[in-house]
Amino acid sequence: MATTLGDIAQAVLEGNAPRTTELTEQALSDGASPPDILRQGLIAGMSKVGAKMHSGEYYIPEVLISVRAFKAASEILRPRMAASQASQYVGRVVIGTVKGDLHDIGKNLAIVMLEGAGFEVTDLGINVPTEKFVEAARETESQIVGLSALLTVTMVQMKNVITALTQTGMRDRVKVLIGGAPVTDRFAREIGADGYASTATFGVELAKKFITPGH
Amino acid sequence: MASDPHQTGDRMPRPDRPNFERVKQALLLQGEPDRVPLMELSIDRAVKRAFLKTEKRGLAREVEFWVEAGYDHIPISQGAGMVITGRVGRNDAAGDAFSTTMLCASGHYSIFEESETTRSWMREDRGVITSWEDFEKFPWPNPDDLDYAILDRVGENLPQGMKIIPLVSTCFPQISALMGTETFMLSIYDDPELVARLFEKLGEIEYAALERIVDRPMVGAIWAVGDVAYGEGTLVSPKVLRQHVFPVLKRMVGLAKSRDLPTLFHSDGKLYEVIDDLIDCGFNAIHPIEPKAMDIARLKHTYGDRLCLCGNIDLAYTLTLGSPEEVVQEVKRRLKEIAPGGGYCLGSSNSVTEYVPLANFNAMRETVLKYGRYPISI
Repeated sequence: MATTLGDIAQAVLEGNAPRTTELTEQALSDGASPPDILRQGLIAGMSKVGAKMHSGEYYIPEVLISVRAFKAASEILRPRMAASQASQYVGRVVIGTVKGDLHDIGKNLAIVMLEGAGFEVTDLGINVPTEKFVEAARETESQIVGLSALLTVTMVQMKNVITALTQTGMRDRVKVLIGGAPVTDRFAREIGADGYASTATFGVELAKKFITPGH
Repeated sequence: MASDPHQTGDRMPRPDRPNFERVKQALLLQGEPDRVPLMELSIDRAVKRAFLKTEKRGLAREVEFWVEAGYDHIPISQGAGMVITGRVGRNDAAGDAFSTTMLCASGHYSIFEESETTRSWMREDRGVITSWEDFEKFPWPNPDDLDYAILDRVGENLPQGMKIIPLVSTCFPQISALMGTETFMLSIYDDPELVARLFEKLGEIEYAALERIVDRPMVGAIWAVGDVAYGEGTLVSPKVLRQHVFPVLKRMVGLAKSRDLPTLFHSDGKLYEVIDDLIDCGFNAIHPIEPKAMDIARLKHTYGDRLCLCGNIDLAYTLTLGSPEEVVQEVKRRLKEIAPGGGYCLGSSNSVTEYVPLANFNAMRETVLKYGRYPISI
């Protein structure tokens, strides 16, 4: 059985969607539990993808084909997971591109990498008004708010979101993670964000750190 | 941001005359010219108008701006790639593929007729060419129909010593826009033949456009523009760039070289992995060297004998969010550390966008005009 789950991880790593779904079906018919397939197969595979992106071996196309394989197999598992199993997420994130900004490939990549790491992600889309981030974080009881921007001129909206979180008493309940082309560590510190993700992979690492008890 | 970011006091008049030779000397690494050249590939019209203190437009104003501001060149978008980015990449036109493609086909494009308020956004899902059928149906621009007259019209207005640098494309962002970014990235694996054919096709058009550009007397250099990288590395593997992008560029650079025109390469992001490839293509200079992505001191040390470095004044913070004094300090540091020996053109780490306050833009150029004379003594 372990071999099969390892094979699933490998198929995700190779970005082979047909093989990933085929092996997932096979593991199900062999009696493997959906949560095991998800964690030891699909999520394990995506974690390796993250590592390869991190080390410079994988670029955006390689990540995208792995993501496609991951998503296709997740769709097979989803209806077979009991409600209790499906909700066994490691953490919850609301994420969006800030007001005035329509860019979303970086954000979308971050979403699938977060999902691939076991997070439940609420995607607010692009051009998201400040108050929407606050409302969504409250409604979903998310621990992390992810903000994306492409331009220096829209990046300043991130500070407004943090201010709004503070004013509504939400700031202590969430970690704010920011990313995008013009964003830097320095900017993250200046506006009081909790972290800056230079890539989707770094974003996942930070998100995992944020939900670690005692952090 | 202040309601009018472009309020400013009086600006310093340019102390010297336009002289493209100083740019050429820097680009070709022929030692120290008389002063560090200023270099931009784009300056937003709002900044230009505020600088000129006029709402008047037209070619004469455009030329007046670049001359008065201290530049020795005027960058002008040319070629099919620019038409495609200008039209297909525009989000508000995305729903109207027909008018978009017809605009591409007609080659109608002018730097002075862009809409005032619309910002271009790259399409990220599906573009207008996602299949071989789309490829065949696409009304590809005929190189003869593209508008080169703008070069001649600006050329007639140029003062002595000033040259035009036409901007042509690396094809990469244009194909990304035509296919949609995600589709393009996936197609590298799903349909590599289509991706190859697209690069070949657009590369041919771009080369043919360049053939119609290089012999014009007002042209001083050629600038290949198009992002292939982001903050952490190239967007696709160097292998893919070597397969599709660099062969096209090498051919274009060869054409420019045959006319003694220096060549510049522009891409945002971290390019360390492909700098040797860019040198192999024959480029004389790289731009804009984002401080976030690359260390210009390291580049100067490692590649300073082979590449002229251009840009590097931080758009992510200093030029946009910093004070004029912070701009002055950063510019002085670059002049002191990077300019000695030549091979450096100073400018923003991307372009001068409308959210660069005029006072910061002026601080950048005036510091170069004041302290950029060789030998540097700061």
